[in-house]
Formats: sequence, structure tokens, C-alpha cells
Amino acid sequence: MSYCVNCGVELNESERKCPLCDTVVINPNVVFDEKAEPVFPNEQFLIDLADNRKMTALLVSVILAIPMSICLVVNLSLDHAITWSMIVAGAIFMLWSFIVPPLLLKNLRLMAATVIDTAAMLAFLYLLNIYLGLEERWYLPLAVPIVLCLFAFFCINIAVVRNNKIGKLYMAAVVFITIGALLVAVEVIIDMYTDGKVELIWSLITMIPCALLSLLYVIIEKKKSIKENLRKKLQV
Amino acid sequence: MKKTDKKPDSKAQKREKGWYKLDNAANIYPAIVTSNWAPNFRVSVTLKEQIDPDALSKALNSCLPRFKNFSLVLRRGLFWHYLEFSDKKPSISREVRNPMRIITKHENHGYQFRVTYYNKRIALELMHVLADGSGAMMFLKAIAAEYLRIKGAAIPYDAEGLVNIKEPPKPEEMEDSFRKYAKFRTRQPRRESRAYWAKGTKLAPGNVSIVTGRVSVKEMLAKSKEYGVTITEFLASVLIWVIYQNQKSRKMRRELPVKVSVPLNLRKFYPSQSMRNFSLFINPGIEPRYGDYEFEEIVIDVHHFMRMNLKEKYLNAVMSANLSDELNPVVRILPLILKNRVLAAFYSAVGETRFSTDMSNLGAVTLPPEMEDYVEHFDFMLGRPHGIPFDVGVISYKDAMSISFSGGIEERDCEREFFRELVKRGIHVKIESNSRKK
Repeated sequence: MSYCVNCGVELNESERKCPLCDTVVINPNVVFDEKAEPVFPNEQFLIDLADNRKMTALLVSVILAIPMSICLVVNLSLDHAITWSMIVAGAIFMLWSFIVPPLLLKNLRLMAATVIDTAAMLAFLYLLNIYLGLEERWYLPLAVPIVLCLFAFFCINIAVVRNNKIGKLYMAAVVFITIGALLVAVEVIIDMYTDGKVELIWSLITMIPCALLSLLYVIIEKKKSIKENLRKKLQV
Repeated sequence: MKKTDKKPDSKAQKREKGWYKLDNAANIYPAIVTSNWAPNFRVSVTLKEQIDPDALSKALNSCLPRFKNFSLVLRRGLFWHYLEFSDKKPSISREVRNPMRIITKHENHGYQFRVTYYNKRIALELMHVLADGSGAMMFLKAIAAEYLRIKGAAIPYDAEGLVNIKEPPKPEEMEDSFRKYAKFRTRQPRRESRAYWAKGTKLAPGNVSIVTGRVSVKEMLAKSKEYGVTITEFLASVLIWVIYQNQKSRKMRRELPVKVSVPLNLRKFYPSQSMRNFSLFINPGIEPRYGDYEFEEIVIDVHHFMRMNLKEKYLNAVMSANLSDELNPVVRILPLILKNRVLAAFYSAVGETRFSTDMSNLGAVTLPPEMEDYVEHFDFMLGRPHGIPFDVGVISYKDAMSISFSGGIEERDCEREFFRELVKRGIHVKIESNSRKK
């Protein structure tokens, strides 16, 4: 008969540690009986959780494969070559890679999913470039930079939102400033592609309020008195 | 060819035995079942000798036809779930470390119960749609008695405290007593505030953390009498006290009420013989926003709350409110697929959030004197809870009381403090758990 020195409860013979506080049982008078039958058997029944996700992934794949195969067959039978259906297939594949990998890979992190999505998007745009003719040089100077800017935007925001140490208002500030920066970057890329000259117009219209909002959030977060006053006035 | 020589047609038998609507309390349960969780609970009996699986299987097969509410399979209709009679032979299985997990439809011919054995213990695990603790205990006692008879014990079939398995089932045992006794004089409004939940790391789906404390009924009764309350009130007060301390240690900006849901057996108020669900909950507790509480104050609050609400009139108003939701024409014509979503959302929003834990006291089990010598003790466990961190099942037999915590989180802070509180108050506690033997 052993007791837990911490909890003062008597422990069953099969308990080597106190189940309540994890303190190891040390009883000089009673040697722990390795053969003592535990109160519950050691075998455990494992519930397979992957089934549902696998089933959903399979279902999504089948549903997406139907329009893809119809387009390929129609295209082949009418034109005797794969032409426009390539774009449909590429778009469906891109959609598939947005949905299915997160379902199949249980521990897929958001950042890794973003990498996969970016790669799928770049691949689809490349396919589009091939279809429209490689002489149209828009893929490298226009499409790739815009997609990479989007990737950077999502990476920064995921990292910030996932960080528990950053205050909520700072988070909002980062989200707004990155939206503004993304739009400026997009306009710069488009300007550089069209005439090689950078003239910021429409992106500034969004950048200015975004920047001001960010600044406002930073100030509120820094100044405790303003924050408290706002909490008082805006209480719901 | 003479048709009369043939074995009774099982389809005809099914038609004859028919199907049943779910009772009012059971209606919510199929809606909240997920792929890896179901509202299951278990009652178990520990005998003095190792269990013989063959004899147990025979005992179960002899008892099942008498218990109509267990010979049922859960099915989906267009508007409601229903229970259909089945005459298949149930199987038994060896117990595992994570009991009360979901019973899949392929596991036991669709029956929503499983009988398991381990060492000297026979356990009956079931989904709440079939019965409440009282109904389950009648079935378990009948199985244990028949098992002992097969092993040579002389237990009369008509012994008091046992269901006579030689008699045919009685129709009143299958009645939905909620429908029979609800008076609809008034409907109790359900306005209750959200309660505090202890936090912790969720266990993997399908797992459950069990800690059972064995105490003496005499010691517990003496301690409760010291405070002038019943054992249930005393245990509920200790639970509220430890959860309250747990909330205090978290230094929350806004403290939430701490409430314990206590199921009440309505058979004490009505002459019901139903073996199905016939219980209701009341949630005694404290509101920490009023100020700091002492343990003695909590005991008084719980005692008075229980006395005030343990009235047939009040319980009937609650019962009527629950039943009128079921009878609402809009709810009735909602297709099951939508109804399930609505009920699940309703349960998440206002079901479990209204209490910090659930403590069900099944009371004292009585056995015929011919059976007493063969039985060590009984246990009662609620399954891993849906959202709340843990729930508690209490049962007693002679002087042995078992208090079982079933948790869905790894941490056992509240369990530890609960049993330490009992020890501090001079009650001897023996602890068992389902922790892996290292």
C-alpha cells in the first residue's frame, strides 16, 4: 500500500507514479510489483482520422477530373490536338493543388501551403504563356514578379498573424501597410512592363489611406492613454 | 411443404417488435456525433473472480431479448432519427485503455452498446440515445446476475432489485416518459450565462483520461452531514471550489461563473418504469463577479439551489420547455440533414457552455442478498466530454464509492485538487487511472 507524498492519496498497486501529480512512488517497504495488473489494459484502440480527409480529397479529385477530361476529349476529337483544353486542364490542376494537398498532408503548415499555391500559379501562368505564344514576353517581366509579390505579401502576413507576441493593433498595422505596398509594387511592375517608366497613380490612392491607418494603429498601440480612452469611448 | 415448420421469420419479428421514436433527451445526441466522438458512458461491475468470456457472451444473449431498449439500432429517417428493433446476436470484446469511444455501425451489428471484459470486470458502454444511467444499470445488473448463474450461483430470477429476464418485456419500460408526464402548464426559460471551462492540451481523438477515486460511503456521508448537506451537494461543492480556484490561478480579467451540471433522475418524482432516458439537469454554481467565495459559502449556495429547484413543478416546466421545442412544427418539418446542423449549432452555443463540468451521481446500487458476495464494486463513468474539459460519474455499492473523472485534456489539475481537497477533509482516497504503465 503506497501513498503519494504530494497528494496524500493511496495509489493502486499498478501505479508507479501518482496519476494526479506525476510524483514517482518511493516506498522502501514495498517493492514495486512489475507484474501487478494495471486497472486498464495497455492496449489502445486507435481511431483512424485520415479516412474522412482522404475521402474528401478523392471526391474533390474526381469532381475536378470530370470537366478536365471532358474538355480534353472534346478538344482532341474536334481539333485532333490539345490546344485550348490545356488551359482548362491547367486551371483545374491549379485549383486541385489549392484544395487537395492541405487535405492529404495532415501537418502541412500554412507557409508550405502558400509555397505550393505559388508554384501552381506560376506553372499555370507559364502554360498560358506557352498557349498564347512564347514571343509574347509577359511571363518573366510581368507575371512572375506579381505572383512573387503576392507570395511575399502572404508570407509576411502569416508570420505576423501567427506571432503571439505582437499586439493586435501592430498586426493590423502590418496588414494595412503590406496591402498598400503590394499595390504599389504591382503598379511599378505594370509600368515597367508597359513603358519602362514608373508613374504611381492609382496605387497611391490606396497606399495613402493604408499608410495613414497603419500609422494610426501604431500610435494607438504605443500611447497607452489614447488606447485606454478609445476603449472607454468605443465600448460596446 | 409446411410453412409452420420454418423458423420464425426474422423480418416478421422485426415488424412485430417495430421501431421507436427517440425520446426527448435522446434527440440531440445523434446530431452531435462526429466521426470520432459520441455521447457514450459506461457502467461496470467488478466481481471477485476472473471473467469467463464465453459465459459472459451467453449471459448477454440471454438478457438482451428482455431489454427492448437495448435491442435497437439507430437509423436515419427523413425528418428524425429512429430506433429499429434488431434480433442479431451481440458480440462482446476485451476492454481497451480508451473505453467509451464511438461505437461504429459495423462494430456490434449496429447496436449502440458494447459489453467488454477485463480481469474481474464486466463493463457496459452505451450511447445516451438508448438509456440513461438508471436504465443502463438495470441491464448491467441483469447481465452480471445471469453470468453468475451460468457460473453456478443460485440467484433467483425474481429477486428484488433485478429485472426478471424470464418475464416478457413490459410496454411501459419503453415509454417516452417525458411525453407522458410533461404538463405544458408553463415553459421554463433557458436564460443562463456562459460558465468557465478549465483549459488544457486536448487529447488525441478517441482517447480519454480516466482517474477514479475510491472512497468510503460512511466517511463521505459523515463529512456531508457535518455540513448539513447530501453527498451529491457536498461533491458538487468541492468540484465548484476546485474549478473556482483553477479560474483564480489563471488571473482572468473577467471571471466567469463556475457551475456544475447535475443530472436528476425524474423517476423519483413520477411513477415511471421507463428504461429509456428520463432525467434532467440543473446547474448549481457560483458567480465570482459578486466577490470572493469561501468553501462553506459554496456548500450553502449549492444546498439551497438544489433544494429550491428539486421540485416537481419546476422540473416539469423545464421538461415542457424541452418537449415543446421538439413539438414545434418548424423544427419537425426541417429535414434531418438541416436539423442536425441546427441542433449541433444549438448544442455548441447553449448546451455545454452553460456549465463548467457535469457530475452525475447514480446513487447506491442494491443487489439481492444472493448476489452480494460475488460483487466487489461498481463504477460509473461518463464518456470523454464534447467541449468541457472533464466530467464526473459517481456511484456507490455498500461502503465503496467510486468517483470517476473522464477527461478530454492531458492535464489533471482539477482532478488532483479535487482529491486533495477530500484528503484534506479527512476522507481516505484510493486512486486508479488509465495512465499507461511505464
